[in-house]
Amino acid sequence: MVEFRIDRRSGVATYVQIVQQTKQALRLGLLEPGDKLPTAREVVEATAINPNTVLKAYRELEREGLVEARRGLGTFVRRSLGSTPADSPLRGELAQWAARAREAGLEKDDVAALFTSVLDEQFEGDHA
Amino acid sequence: MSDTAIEAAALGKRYGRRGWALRACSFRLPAGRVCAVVGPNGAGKSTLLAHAAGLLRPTEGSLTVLSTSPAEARDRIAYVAQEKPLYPQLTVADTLRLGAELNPARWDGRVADRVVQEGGLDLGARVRTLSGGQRTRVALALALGKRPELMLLDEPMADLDPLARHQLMGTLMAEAVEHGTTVVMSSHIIGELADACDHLLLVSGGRVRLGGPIDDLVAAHTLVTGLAPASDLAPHTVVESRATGRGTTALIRHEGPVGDGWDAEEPSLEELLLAHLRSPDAPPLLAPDTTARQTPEVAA
Amino acid sequence: MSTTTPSPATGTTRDTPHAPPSGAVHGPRWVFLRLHRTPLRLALAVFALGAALTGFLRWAAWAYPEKEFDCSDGSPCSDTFLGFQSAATLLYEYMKNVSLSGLLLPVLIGAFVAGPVVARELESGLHRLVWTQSVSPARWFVSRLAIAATLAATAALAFIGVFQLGASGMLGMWNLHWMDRGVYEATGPALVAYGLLAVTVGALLGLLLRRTVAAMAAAAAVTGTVLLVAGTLRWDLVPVNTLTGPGSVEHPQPTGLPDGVKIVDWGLQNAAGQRFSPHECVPEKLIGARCPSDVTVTDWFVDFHPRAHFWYAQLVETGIVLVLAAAAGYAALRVLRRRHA
Repeated sequence: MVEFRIDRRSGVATYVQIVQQTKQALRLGLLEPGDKLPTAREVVEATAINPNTVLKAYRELEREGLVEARRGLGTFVRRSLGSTPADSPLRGELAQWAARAREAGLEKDDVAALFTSVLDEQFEGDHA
Repeated sequence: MSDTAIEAAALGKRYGRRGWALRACSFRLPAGRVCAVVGPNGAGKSTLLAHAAGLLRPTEGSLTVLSTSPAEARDRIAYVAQEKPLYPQLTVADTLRLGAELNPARWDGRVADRVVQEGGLDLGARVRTLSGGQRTRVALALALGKRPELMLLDEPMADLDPLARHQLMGTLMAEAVEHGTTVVMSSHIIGELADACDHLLLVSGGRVRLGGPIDDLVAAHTLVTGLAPASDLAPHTVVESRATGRGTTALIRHEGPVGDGWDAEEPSLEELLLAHLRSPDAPPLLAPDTTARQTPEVAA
Repeated sequence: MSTTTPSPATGTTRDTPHAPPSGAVHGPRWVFLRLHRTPLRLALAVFALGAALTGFLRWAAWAYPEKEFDCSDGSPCSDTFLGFQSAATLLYEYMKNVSLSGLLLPVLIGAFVAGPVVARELESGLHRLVWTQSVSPARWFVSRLAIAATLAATAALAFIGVFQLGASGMLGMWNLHWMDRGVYEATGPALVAYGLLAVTVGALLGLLLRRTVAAMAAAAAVTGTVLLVAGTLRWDLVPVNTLTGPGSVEHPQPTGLPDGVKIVDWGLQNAAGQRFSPHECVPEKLIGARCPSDVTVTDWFVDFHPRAHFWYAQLVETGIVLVLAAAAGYAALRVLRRRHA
């Protein structure tokens, strides 16, 4: 069962935080198809946030086809996200690239900025 | 269950020589919302809640609760007054028994017991020996045990430490989601309510200044910065404008897109509230579907 | 944004409420008895103590009758009982005080209802707690009045019972007379009526003043004043009997006046039936005295209430006090409805 951590100072809307944390859990394999998400009651009891915020996040996840609500049972994971296991080729390539960037004398922040700008360019128009 | 939790039509309340505590309040709160009633001290929040609880009679206008009079809806409303009144000579257990005796048709002792036990309260302790936060917990237990359709909580979190605040707000939200309870909470600090509430009523100077879903209210406003004077912002409604350096910062209600030369940003809820409190003359805004449906007979 | 719907996992059925708590008394009555448990227990203890003491003294008066001794040798002429001349004397002194304390009973009831029962709740904002439960203010108020009235009537009857226990058979002797203030009240239904009046007057003043101490003082003052005034006026409620006949300065009453009557007025009258005072008009007229021109004494007269008037006075007074009590109760309810929904 995932637990949502709401960061009130992040500036990110609360429902977006829930969506992002669910996706993160899917990517990391913490949630797999068939797993049950906590009920809205469980989430609000633990986080003291507004119930509609949780329902809004779950509707968003449902709209993206990641989860489905089964009446009377709860909300269940339908599919996992393109997970990137630690040993995938993509990860290896990225690790090599990061090593090269470091050799070229880039700081960690420089690398992160570079990576983010390429990401933005590649995924322009998509929404989180 | 009614789709309207509270509806006020030109509601006004005058306290003898002290003048008007509320004047010309018209709004509608749909059922199922968690609503923050926000405003400075003395703005009329408590007066508004006491009317909804059926404890005060309007001087003018009207107020309905759950589509009927507050007196008729008495058994479906729970109210916790700001001072958290409880009988000091009773024990915690007897206070909960009082709730059971006076609400025989609705009382759910399990909820009330759980709220009290989560706070580690001794059931045999007398109320007069409890701290402010513990009294708040008992008062909320009494309100939750009634299983109301509408909870009216006047400054519920003021005496609570952060842990108890989080825990009780969680319990409140859980009750709201499970039973579709409408929750109305007042506070002069929006921070402690912002996460829990989806609806807002801003009350100041005895009037409702803003009302509606928080997201809609925020989205209706834009924080703009630019070099032009505020007069260039027509046709938008300027709530507040300030000269900053050579330019202007203003909070506006946009009518269509904001013109070139202005840097536009969505305001935070706090910025929105503060701007309205600093500008008492800004016109009130009620989101669609939250205006009173009744035609008020008395308009101020 | 849509309204909150019950989450699918938890279902929508409302849990059935818990079974009501066990016990014989429920609802507002339970709350009343629980809230005022301490003063009610205290009152019960005082009553029990008073009844036990009365019973003991009554028994002692019977078990230790006064004995006369031969005191020619300088020893005491009679036995003493706890420092009193006899157990019967002690019983009499005690009952005299008990009869007067009966007048305090309505005063205490009025103060209790006005302060702790009604005004304190309004003063400390507790009405905002109880009036927002499922019981309407009117029902809450009426139920408190009803239970307070029941307790007050019970207390008055218990007091009358205790007084009977101590004083039955003593009335008319020992300076305990049926018409005396205190004795009169402690021997008839008027005391019950005063108890009920105290409840409704207390409730009305508590509602109006909304301050515990002020309401208690006002209720005690009003109840006490009504008792005092009634004590003076009650003998005007029933027409007096009049006896006329020859008398003398040594025996300034017409002959044939029965024992144990309440004398209201007495004096002289002339042939025309005009009354005048024996001391002011004869043998010579005092300055300022109002005397008829003819001061020839034909008869002595006496206006009096015979023992039989006791019940007339009690019933008329009880009726009047009950009407007052009902009026105060009605006024209290009106005040409540006008101020609160």
